[in-house]
Amino acid sequence: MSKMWIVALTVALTIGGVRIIEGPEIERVDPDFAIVRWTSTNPGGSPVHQGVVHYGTDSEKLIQTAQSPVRLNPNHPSTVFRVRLNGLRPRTTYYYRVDSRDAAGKDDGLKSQLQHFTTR
Amino acid sequence: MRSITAGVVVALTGVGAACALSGKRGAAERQPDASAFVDAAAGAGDAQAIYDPYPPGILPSDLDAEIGRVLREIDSIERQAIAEWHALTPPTVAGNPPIAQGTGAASIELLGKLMNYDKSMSPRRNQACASCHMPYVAFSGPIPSVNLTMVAYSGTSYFRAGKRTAQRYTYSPFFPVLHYDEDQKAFIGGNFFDSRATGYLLRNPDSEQALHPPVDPEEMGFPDIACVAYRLSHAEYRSLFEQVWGEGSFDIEFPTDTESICATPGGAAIFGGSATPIPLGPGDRTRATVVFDRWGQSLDAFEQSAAVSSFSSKFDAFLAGKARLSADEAAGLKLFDGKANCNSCHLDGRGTTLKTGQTDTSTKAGVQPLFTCFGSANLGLPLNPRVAFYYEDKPDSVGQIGNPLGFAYRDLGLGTFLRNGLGAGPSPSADWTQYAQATDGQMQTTTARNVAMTPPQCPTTEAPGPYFQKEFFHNGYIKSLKQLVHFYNTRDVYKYDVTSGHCPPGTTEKVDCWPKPEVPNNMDMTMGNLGLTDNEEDQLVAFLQTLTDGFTRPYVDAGTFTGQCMSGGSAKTQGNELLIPTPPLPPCAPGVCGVAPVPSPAIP
Repeated sequence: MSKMWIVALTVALTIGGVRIIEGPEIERVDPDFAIVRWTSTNPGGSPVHQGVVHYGTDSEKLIQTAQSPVRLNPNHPSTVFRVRLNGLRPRTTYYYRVDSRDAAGKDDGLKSQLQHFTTR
Repeated sequence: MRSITAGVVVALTGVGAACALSGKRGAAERQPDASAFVDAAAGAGDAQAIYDPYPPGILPSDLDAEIGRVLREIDSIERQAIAEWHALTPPTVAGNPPIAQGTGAASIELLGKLMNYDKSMSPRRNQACASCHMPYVAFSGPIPSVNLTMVAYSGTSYFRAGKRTAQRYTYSPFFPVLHYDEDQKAFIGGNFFDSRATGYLLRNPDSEQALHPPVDPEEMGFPDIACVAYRLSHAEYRSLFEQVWGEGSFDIEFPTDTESICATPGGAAIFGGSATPIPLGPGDRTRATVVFDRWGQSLDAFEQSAAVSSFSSKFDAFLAGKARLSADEAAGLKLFDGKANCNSCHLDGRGTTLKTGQTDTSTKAGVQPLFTCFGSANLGLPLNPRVAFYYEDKPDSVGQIGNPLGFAYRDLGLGTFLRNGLGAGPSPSADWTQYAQATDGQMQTTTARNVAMTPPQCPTTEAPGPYFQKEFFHNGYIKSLKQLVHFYNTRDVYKYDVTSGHCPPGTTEKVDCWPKPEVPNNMDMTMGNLGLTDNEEDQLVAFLQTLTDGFTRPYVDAGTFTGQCMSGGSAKTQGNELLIPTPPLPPCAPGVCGVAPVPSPAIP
């Protein structure tokens, strides 16, 4: 990685924070299971980060949380987060927002729109 | 009851002769009944009562012959190592602190090699370390039919086996002492899939790893660590041990019935759970423990030597600018670093993924990359019902029950170790227990180096071959590198809520059906849907094959395989003909999932 690219990435992270490049979207949905996926700029920091999905059947009350670990690649400018949601109800609409955290639980500062999906 | 090979019977008859080689008993020590131990070792009037609680088909039909084949290969290498030792010029001790000048390093490495191939280091003198770790497969499992069926290898008690695959020795000495990294909030280092060889005492996980199998009832199975000192004191290479570690190392007054005790497998009911059935006084006990530690350190020296961890792969030559990768290998490397993201855990010491117009200038790594991050992850492998351990819920001839939980056992890996749990503990740090829930299902990230090593006459792991049948990951569920890469690529694409052997009609297990994980907690989501094409998977396999040592110089003892290659079929479905349906699984047993802090969420 060139020094210029490292500087540019560092500046971007410092000024703009971590931002979503793609998604979030539903990678897969079953009657009782779903995978939520998004790509963000590489948040840096601890090698293992947690993708977090706050979800619920009431768009005003995202009272459930799922999280899954991914391992950052320090050489990649972006990171794909994928989170498993288990124990869902069939044919039910769920609302969700996403964020990500470092290994110590520190929020990466991700901003996510409210989204929804319906199980099969 | 199964038969055992003539070679093994001959080996067993050596026990009686060795019984005469015993020393004096220490005073005021518990005196076991020697005749009782002999009876226990012999079982019900048999030289060795064969343990076979398995349904038909779990054990491979050629198991007897293949164990005999490996023992002959072991004897051959041991004889050669003895000759190497006799040809070695003894070092000269000089300096202060004293150093064995000249051949000191070669001496300890050779001592470790002699130990590795010494089958007297088991109660029945029928199993060496090498029985599960032969050089032509980078010191992993040497029997193709075992790799294809029962997964773990039989220990000294034929045919009782453990629960996991035999890990490669190569580069294991480079793992750091297990520690909780406060920045990463993760465990780093240790040896074994569950990291239970921590290195906390010898400050070297690999040395401590070597301390486990000699007293593991599923492996070499001595009842007492002092048996290692006792058998070493009668080894042909005893003087080499004393030369390396000091005269007087074996000044231990062993009781007259030590051989009888050591000929009885550990875990036998007669020992009543004692880990020190040899009654030694405190001084002799300490000296025996020191010898045991030296055993581990000597084996570590061997495993760290160029005879085992040689950094002699095509990729090493490529890094040094002395070899060029083929188009597929180079494409595989680019995928390894990029789209497949393998080097997020299997660190390769290379520069960043190139973009259009950029030039790769990182032909030389700053260090020799080890292709591991020394961490652990739960990849979500399905429970493999072929693992022999699940069927070992009945006592053997000496009263040992390997797995009283049967199919209610779940392999939580690092999580179970941190809880001091069944088959893993005890842990040396109570501070670590709090992290058990966060590590349930995690297994150590092994180095990708030598994952593809096979004997020269069977030049690949992949069907149609001719190929050498290996097994991959901790439970051997995966049988080819193509399947391994395909699992990383499509685990979540072809996810089905079934157990192995129950994929829906119209699907093919390991091709377009992946059964549910044995442990659903903490599943790593770096992988599972990588979007690789079939050709890209093949390119990754081609790259992995460049990590096999022996390219820049011959790999020591690589040519010692005397068995048969396999051929035919497809790497995509390799071994599928031997899939068996997983029985209905009882809930995870309280002995595993009920140990605090209990897994969260609960494991089915």
